[in-house]
Amino acid sequence: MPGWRVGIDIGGTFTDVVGMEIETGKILVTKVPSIPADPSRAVASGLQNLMENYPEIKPEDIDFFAHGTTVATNAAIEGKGAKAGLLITKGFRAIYDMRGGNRPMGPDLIDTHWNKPTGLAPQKMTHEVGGRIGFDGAELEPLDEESVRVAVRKLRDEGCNSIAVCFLFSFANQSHEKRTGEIIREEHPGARVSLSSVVLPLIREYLRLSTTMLDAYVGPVVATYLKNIAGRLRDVQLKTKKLFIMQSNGGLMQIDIATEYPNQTLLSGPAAGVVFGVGLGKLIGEPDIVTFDVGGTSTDISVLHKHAYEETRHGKIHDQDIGTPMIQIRALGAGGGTIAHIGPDGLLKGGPQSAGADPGPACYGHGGKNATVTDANIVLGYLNPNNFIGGRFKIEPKLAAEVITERIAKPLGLTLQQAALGIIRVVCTNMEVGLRLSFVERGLDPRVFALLAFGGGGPVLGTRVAKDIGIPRVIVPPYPGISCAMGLLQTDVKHYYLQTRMASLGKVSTDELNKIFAQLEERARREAVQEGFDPKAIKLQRQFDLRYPFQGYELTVDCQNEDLRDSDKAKIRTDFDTLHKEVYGTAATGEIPDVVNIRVMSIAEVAKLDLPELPRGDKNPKPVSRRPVLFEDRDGYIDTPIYDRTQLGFGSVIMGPAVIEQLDSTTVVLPGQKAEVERYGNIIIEIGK
Amino acid sequence: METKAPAKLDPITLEIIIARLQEMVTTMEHLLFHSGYSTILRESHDGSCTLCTTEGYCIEGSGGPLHLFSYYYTIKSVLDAYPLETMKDGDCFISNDPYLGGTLHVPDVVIITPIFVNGEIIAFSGSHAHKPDMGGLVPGSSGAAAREIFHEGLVLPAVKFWTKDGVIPEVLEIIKHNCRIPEIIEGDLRAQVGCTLVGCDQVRALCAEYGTETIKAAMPEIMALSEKRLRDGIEAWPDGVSEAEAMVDHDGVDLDKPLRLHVKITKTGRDIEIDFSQTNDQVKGPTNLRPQVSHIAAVMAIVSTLDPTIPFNDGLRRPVKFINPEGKITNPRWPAPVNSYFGLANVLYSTCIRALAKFNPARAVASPGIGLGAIAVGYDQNRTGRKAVQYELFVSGQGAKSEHDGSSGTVGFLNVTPNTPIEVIETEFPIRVKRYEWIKDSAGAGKHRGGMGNRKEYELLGDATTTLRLGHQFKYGGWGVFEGKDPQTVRAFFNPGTNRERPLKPLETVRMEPGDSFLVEMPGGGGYGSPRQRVAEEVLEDVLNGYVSIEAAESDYGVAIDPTTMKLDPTRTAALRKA
Repeated sequence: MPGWRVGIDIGGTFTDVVGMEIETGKILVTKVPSIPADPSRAVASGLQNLMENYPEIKPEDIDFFAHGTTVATNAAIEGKGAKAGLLITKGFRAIYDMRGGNRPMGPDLIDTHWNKPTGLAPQKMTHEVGGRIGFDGAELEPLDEESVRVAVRKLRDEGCNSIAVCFLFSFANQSHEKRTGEIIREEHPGARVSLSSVVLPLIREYLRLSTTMLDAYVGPVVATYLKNIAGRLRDVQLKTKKLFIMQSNGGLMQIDIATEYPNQTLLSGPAAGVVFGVGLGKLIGEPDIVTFDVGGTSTDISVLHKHAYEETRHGKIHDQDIGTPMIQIRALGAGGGTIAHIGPDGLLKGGPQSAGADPGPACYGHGGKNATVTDANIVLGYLNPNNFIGGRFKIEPKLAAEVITERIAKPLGLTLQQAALGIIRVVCTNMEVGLRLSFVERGLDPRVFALLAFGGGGPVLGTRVAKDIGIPRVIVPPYPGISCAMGLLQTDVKHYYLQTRMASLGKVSTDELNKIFAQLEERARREAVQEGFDPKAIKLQRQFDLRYPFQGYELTVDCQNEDLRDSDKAKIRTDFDTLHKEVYGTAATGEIPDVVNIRVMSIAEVAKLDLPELPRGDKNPKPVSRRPVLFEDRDGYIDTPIYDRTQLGFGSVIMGPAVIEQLDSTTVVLPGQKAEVERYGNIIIEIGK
Repeated sequence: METKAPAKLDPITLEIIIARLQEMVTTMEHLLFHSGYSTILRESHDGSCTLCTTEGYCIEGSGGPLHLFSYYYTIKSVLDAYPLETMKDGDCFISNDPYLGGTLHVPDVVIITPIFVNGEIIAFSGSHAHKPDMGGLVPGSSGAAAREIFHEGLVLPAVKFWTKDGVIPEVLEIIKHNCRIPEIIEGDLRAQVGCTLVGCDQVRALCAEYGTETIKAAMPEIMALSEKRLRDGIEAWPDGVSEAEAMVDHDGVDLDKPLRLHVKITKTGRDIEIDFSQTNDQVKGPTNLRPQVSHIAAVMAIVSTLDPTIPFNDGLRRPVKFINPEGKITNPRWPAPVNSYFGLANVLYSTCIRALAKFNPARAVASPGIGLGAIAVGYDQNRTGRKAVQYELFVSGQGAKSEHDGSSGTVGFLNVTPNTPIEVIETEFPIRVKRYEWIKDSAGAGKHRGGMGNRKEYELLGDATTTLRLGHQFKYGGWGVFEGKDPQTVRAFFNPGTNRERPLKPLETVRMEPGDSFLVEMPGGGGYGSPRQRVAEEVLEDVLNGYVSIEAAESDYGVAIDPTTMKLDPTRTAALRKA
């Protein structure tokens, strides 16, 4: 009988797998190396690995599969997306390069040396297409199909395999874009098509275009990946229809649907970590948490204030503007695989390039020729070469020492140890700047926050960065290396169904509104069935996006779920006025608001994280071994006790310096710091000054 | 006199307070743009928010510094009319007077709100927003025909606009009765008041957290920090004198009489003196700059040449002394008109940067495409049958730099004014945008090329009165540096490509009918270094991208490109470059 949920997080370096038995809450975990060339293979091998290690999990018992991936993000950050072209309305070449004519606030605004970031398609890959839609959706000029064909052939001959289409007013009438999509498929069947009227059907051409361009840029990479993954899941005999991918907005989406919306997966991986942070914060009563998720290639930071994350509808992915709603996350190009090198100015730099999973850090012995953060961690004694991922992954400390000596120490005239500490110092400083900016943006004080250190590398460096920026406490969860995978098991399946209907609330008939709501709800229930949910069990909420007649931005107001009568409009108005006053400080109570969108929010709830309590453990646990470890501001290596995390219980206390090892991560407790295991197995480290 | 920092607060607390104040003004600004009614506010973001001391000094502000330093003068005028002890919690004051107060021209309306904490006023929150219309001779209130400030719309001295019971209806009615689009103006003003009230709540919360005395102590320290950084930087420059000048076409009245902007900068120790006394006398037309504009153009030129990361606040003004006699274009006597200040301020800023290059040659840059400006299209009827004003701001190309080409398509001067989306323009107003594209060869050639100029064309669908407000640089444009070439100048045409085509003049107001069209060409930026030194592959890339023509590649850059294969011709290129 179905009894397991599986969450898989594909990082740049490792793929983490967690299985949870629905009835008991029992958690089983495993980890396999990522395969960047085909990340889906790692998903299959991870699943197999899980079922081999734990034969109690049978493929037919898996009732729910959710995964998060950095496939799209990495393509954007590393500039490894598709060679993409752009089709735009004739005469409007400047829109994309112009980037809204905007310039960032702050110092950049008056910096005469400021450089505007470049887009993902140069002018030579941008082609104009005849045809024009008016503001009301009326066709002013028919689509010039011949100009589409000519442009597509040119792009095809240039070797472009993904095409973005963004025409003016396509959100009001998508026929020209739709037809263009058909022509592209005829002329260049191999190309992926991103239509702005599908990607982000909202007014304001630049943000829609930029989002569509990102969609086109990462689309082929994501599509290949999702197709592969569907095949792999069939290969391993998974039967459930509940196959999900994490979206940037913190909700899940079925993978078949996701192929159409690659832009919504740009924060898929990190979003799961944030959802995990929210759940853990509630469990242990810690409302203010900054998540510090250090993976192989990147570090993701999100500030949770009063148990909540921020959502943005105008974000940036590696300098590219994106309008897709997403969790506010700061991504830094700094992780375990980050390459240290000497810059043109002769100074030591950390990243942003990463050695990834293949060849990976030099110490993996897969031919890596660059000094990475992981190599430095090995040299300094933070990581155990004999117990890396439970000893299943062979590490060659000699290679780490060699590469740092050759690449960094010798050219800079440093000792090996100085060079390794230098790498950590430079990379940690980059992380600290990112953390500080995340607090500054929200205007919050790091001194009242706890740092939730996870990802394989978070607990290695977390105590150090927390100390440097004045965060008093670090939390290391029970399975830090698989926190994103855990987050996936706590995420609701969330969809918005939206119909634009611009009209005065006073004039639009309640019959029409009720009809639209009913249609949207019908769609929500239909998709819920497709996703394997009982349509009666999903939660639906009717909403309006409203604004005063001359405004340009809406506020979303919940509406009763029963059909509306004319007499109900007064309450909608009052609710909107109240919300407007709350948000903007005033309200125009004399004005009747306009309806812009009619929405239905659908949520299929997934049971929340319920970690079992840990039995009481030894107050003063015994170290399993000792090894020399080098800490900043100490002279030479210190003989340091090493602890096995599985031997710790509720109430166990460890004084630093110490290293706590476990399958999926390693926690470094600095000299003078105190670590204590709380009731649910989280290690709480008091940082001190 | 250099201010000594009292330095009472520890560096972490002060940093946090600064970050919190920044967050507050950013939040206020977000609220202003998202709740405002006019497109110039909600799409072009021509507005700002601030927190100021009880004397009116700006501590933190959002948006461009052009607005931020003028709050001081407005708050002073509020205090002259309403001493602190007469103010009550919930009061808001309004003014748009460029002479008694500090606005840049009449359409800029400022709201000032005292922040009460436990019965005491500890600061002011403020908002500044450019209105699409405040009455006057033409829609948008800014036309060449203005000879006195009375022609530029309704001028409000500092008066009370709001109390704890809400708006004062008599004042609102006077305003609404004097402008062309009363509902829009009312909505924008409501957004302005709302965000200042939210700012008050946030400051009160900050005081509850850190103590009112701490917050009060932080304000002078924040200004002293910026002042010190500026003075430290100035000190590192060599002492000396530098001068620069630039010409502006005319004042909109005497069309054959160019205007001269001149600045003499004297640097001594930790101080700087800016002397405008050789600048043109004030003019009849509306191209005069109030001192709050001319001074800030100079101060920000110093900051951007020295170190743009120094936080903006009123501490930055203290190291700078001005010689700016009354009666100059940079300090006109009342009631001279000032509506077309923006283009001139832009040229003045670039002129100051040109002079400052002598003190800091490493930061020398070519000028941006100067001649920035706006259009104001006043419609007899918008889509819903009411009067409407489309007020749109333009962007140009930036000057090339020591390491890079100039950026294309932004404002280089002290303000953030994103494009109004074409889809918003056409939805709101009876007009169609025909094209928005780059202009080939509009940038100054150079080892590093200037940013590109752009072309925007419109077709009217309804009757309208359109005023161009383009910084007069049809004749005298931007400049290159170190052998870099000058960029194209501004051009504009009425009914282009038809037998009724004619060039438009800066500041011209034209009555237009459905079917009429007009075209504006904004200039690119100047080039840096000799174009012959530009890497040939970069020139080819520019040609492939449509930024540079094959002809200009050859004549300006000495790079030959085969027009059939679109590949470099290395032999001919070598010959051209040797010549």
